[in-house]
Amino acid sequence: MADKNDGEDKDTASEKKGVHDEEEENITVQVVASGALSESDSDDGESPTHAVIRSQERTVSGGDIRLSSISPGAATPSDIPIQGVHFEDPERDPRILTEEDEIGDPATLLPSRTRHSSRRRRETRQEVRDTEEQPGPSQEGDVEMRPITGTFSRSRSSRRSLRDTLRAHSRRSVKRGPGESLNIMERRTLRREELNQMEQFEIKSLPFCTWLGYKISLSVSRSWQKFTESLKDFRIWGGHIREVEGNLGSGVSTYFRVLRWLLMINTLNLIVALSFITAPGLVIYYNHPEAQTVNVEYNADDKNCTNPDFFNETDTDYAEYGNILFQFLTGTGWMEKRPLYIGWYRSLNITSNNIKYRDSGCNITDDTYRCDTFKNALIENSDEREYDDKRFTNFEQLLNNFECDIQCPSTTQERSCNITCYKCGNYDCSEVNRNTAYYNLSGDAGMFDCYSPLGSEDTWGFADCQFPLINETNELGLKCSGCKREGVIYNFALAYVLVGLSYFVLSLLFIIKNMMKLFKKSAAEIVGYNPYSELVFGGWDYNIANKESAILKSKSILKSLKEELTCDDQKEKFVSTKEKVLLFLLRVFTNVLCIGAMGGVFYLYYEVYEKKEDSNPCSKEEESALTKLNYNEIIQSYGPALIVSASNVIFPIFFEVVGNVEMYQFQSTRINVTMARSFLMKLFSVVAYLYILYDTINSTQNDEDDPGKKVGWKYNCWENFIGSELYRLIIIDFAVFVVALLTTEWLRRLMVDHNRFIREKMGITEFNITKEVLDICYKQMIFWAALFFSPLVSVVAFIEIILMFYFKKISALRNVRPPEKVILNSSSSTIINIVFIISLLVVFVPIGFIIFTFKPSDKCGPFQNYDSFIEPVNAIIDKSGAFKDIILDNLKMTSVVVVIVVVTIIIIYFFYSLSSARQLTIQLLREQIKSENADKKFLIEQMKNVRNPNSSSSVIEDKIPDKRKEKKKKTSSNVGSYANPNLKNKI
Amino acid sequence: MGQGTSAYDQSELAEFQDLTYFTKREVLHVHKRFAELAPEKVKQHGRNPTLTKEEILLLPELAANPFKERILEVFSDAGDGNMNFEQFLDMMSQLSSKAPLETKIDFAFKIYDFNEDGQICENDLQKVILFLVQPAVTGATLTSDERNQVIKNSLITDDQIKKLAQKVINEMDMDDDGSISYLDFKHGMSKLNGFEESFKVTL
Repeated sequence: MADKNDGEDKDTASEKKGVHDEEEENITVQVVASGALSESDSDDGESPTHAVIRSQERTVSGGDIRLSSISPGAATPSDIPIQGVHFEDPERDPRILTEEDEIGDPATLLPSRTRHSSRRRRETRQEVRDTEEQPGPSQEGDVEMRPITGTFSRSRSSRRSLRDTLRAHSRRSVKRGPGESLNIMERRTLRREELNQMEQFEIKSLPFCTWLGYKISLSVSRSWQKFTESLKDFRIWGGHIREVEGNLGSGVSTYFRVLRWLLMINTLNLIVALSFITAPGLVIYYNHPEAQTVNVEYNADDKNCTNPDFFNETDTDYAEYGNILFQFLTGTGWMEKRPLYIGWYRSLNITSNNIKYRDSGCNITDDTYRCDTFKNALIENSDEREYDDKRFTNFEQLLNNFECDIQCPSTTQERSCNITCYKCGNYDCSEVNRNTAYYNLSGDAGMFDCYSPLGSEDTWGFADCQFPLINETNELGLKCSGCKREGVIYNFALAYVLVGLSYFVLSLLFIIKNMMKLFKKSAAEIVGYNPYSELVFGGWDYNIANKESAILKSKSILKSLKEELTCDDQKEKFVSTKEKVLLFLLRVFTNVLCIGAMGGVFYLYYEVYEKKEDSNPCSKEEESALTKLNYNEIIQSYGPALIVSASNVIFPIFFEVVGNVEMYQFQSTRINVTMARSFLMKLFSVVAYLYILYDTINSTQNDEDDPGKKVGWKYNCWENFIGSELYRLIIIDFAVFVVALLTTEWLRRLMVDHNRFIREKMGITEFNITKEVLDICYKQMIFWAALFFSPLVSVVAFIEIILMFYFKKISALRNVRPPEKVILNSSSSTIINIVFIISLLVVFVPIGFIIFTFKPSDKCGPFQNYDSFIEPVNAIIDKSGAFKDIILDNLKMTSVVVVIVVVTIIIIYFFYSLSSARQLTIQLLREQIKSENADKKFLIEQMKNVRNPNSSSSVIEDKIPDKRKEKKKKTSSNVGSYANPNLKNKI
Repeated sequence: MGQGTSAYDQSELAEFQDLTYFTKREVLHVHKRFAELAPEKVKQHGRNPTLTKEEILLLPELAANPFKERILEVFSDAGDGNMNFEQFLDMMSQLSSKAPLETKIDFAFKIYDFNEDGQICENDLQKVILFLVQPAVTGATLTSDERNQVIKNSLITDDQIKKLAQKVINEMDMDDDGSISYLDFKHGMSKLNGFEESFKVTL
């Protein structure tokens, strides 16, 4: 093939320089072109460069040819279109061939090739333009920039890689070396040529099938691209966030981004909850009347407050609209009879308590069948055998809609009975199966399915009939069993507990995914904080599109710069021991104060709860008697929630005051300490609230019969009780949020507008990002805690987050000024992620404890027949033998979860240590750079000495190697000894 | 979008989509914003008129920026800040959130390298700091180097500015040559907290 090339090459190669070798069949052609994109070329679209390339392509078609032209910036158009072509043997580097087969991303592809040929290219280039500057100092950047014409025509995702390269070229490089940056017009020309070439390539050099496949894959990838791009266009609230960004800077917009992110988490929870709990729950509820008529005594002491029609539709409370609203807000009354709470749901396979495992009849030993034996029909006189219309209606609760008629003909010769089975609704029955059973009188049993289809509407299973039975008294009998296949019926309890756990797992995965993304992006970012360059180069927020914000931003930069300067001065300042001791004592005191305040609030919760408990255990009945809003009751029911919410508003302010008193040297330390305290406070208040709820429902001491057993909950449906308390907390919290928004932001704004004194003294509220983010974190914690007990909290959360977003946005644009010091900007959202992970885990501990150890109340909910919430899962594990083999017998869900948590922690720790190892490497590399630079400086100095005739050359010659050896040793001992293993792995 | 749809057809939009970081829809949006800056010119010269620096600076997203003139100078081909729509689009594409970090760093380096010698020296840095604090001092973004005015306001002294510039160089200068080379800059910026987020203009 080389021979073939020869002829054609010579005419083109003669006008080019730098043809090196053409030995083998597989040839890589590197076309180094400059000014290939000059106007004259682009006009007809047939530039000399490409003509050559195409001729190459044709002759070597099928061979492995690589064409790449290095097109420099057309800012300096040159008369010589092609400066050098050289051929390389790609077999020297087998990687090239494999890469060529699956060319995808040019970024991954380019470096190796450029590395491969860079030396030669430089040579050729220098032949022509000795004076021309070498490309900029960045080798890496240099490589990325180079447009490769011709390669795209061979690749599958060619359009995409073309686009990527074109986009990369838009970069305004520091030194506009050849091929480094093209303006948009130049890129357009390049693109048109490329596309032209692609078409040519498609038409000429591909066999039809390949061409067709190429076309199809192209259209598929195009439409996929369209789809993903339309997805990118559709990002909810993008415009709003941009607006906030423009007015208040990117720091404040972080808050709104977090809100949007939380909306995604909650949407996920919402979808899971609605599709796996509420929808099946409704189906069960409306399809099976027996589920509706279960009487549950709820939320009261057994003796006093029994409410027999608790789950009855017609409730007297409906009459009173005020009550309805009140109950909506408190989450009691009629709300409790709605799918909001766990207690409403029914697990169908639970409702018939009398299910027995098959004793006889069905020869199915598999546990997936639960069978219900019904009556033996005795054919009393074996001679007559005329038994019309024997109906078996006694399938008990489970199969009470299932009936069979048995007709045995009077003629005995056939020895058969016809059995017809029906599935019956409330009014009529429909035939589902008809069968004939043969029997003989000697006693052999004929077995058959009288009903086997398990259609979509028939989840009832089937019945097996076995007859005849000939007992001792010579009677002919019939024994039928109705069986229900459990697997077909939605195992609601199992679904419920899995969904309950999946809220946490999904959220955790969601956060971790987000965190990993950030880790990837900023592995090195953690190293070395450069406050000055941060402020000078990263300080200005280009998003700002508003004059006032620009002034504010500038002021804050100025302030921070000066602050840093004074801090630097202070660092050198000596602090006396006396001052140190005083400061230490002060901080001990403030910390004690903070802890004391938290303890006080906890005591307050407790007291209020006690009061609530004592005051009126049976408020329900009184209320319905009065049919009036009981204000006392409002206060009682809202009291604890109000305290929790209010303390969450007041405490951060308190901590801020305390932080100011503590005299921290750096403002950032103060903000961080305040943030940590507020966060601890939020965690604490949620846990304390849950503990008090636990304390309220727990009444083991009342259980006198069996003190060892942990049964006697105070409430018949304590799950509903917890759910409603948390729901109430959510509602109250939202109300507090609205009130706080109105007072601290709107009211203050109004006051500032109308009162000069206030305007000068206070100004409008500063948007405290840290506080606000922690606030939504706290809200999310309550959502997580409540989700298990009331699936529809996901809907509440969804709505609340949307409302919060709009309220906050409107208020932020009107009433708020951007913060002076941004601690949480969007890049440090790693911290935000960690905060959310910690809160998720902290919430999971009590909720998980409940799920794994508590006994569900036996009067309501899908778990009423189980000993623990996790039992359905354990049952599944027990049933499937495969699991048993893999997992040890004693390994139940509890330990699995523990293992998962531990593994997660280990993974996080692993990443953490990885990043700290990288920090070390970076540190060492930095030292290396410095020492190499010292090397350089030394050499330059020596060079000067050489030029200087005064110094003797022999001395210099002696010196240089020695010194360099020394330096080398130093660096290798520094880096080589312990950093190299790391380096090898990472670089 | 009616205006935009008439301005460019699908194939042209696809071209822009390949050449910039924008999607077709965003290209149209940028064009709309561009046309709004000087409606008469667009009427007269068609869809790709050259706007002057002043006209482009009417854009509120740029107007508040202290480096606005510098941005335009860096980006316009002639270096005078005038640009037509395609250049404008190219500029906005590189300032958009989709542009990769390297592109942004390059852009930022060019902006801050006032004397365009390929190094950010102490003088450049002093200028950057001055530009940064100008809005605070004067209540508006100034166009030229009005150092005296700033110092008169005694918000920041000449000495402090010099000191700050020195500090920044100390932090960023890896090879100890007294000024920030492109490599230094690239290295420093890539680990700067929040630069990628804050260095973007979204229309």
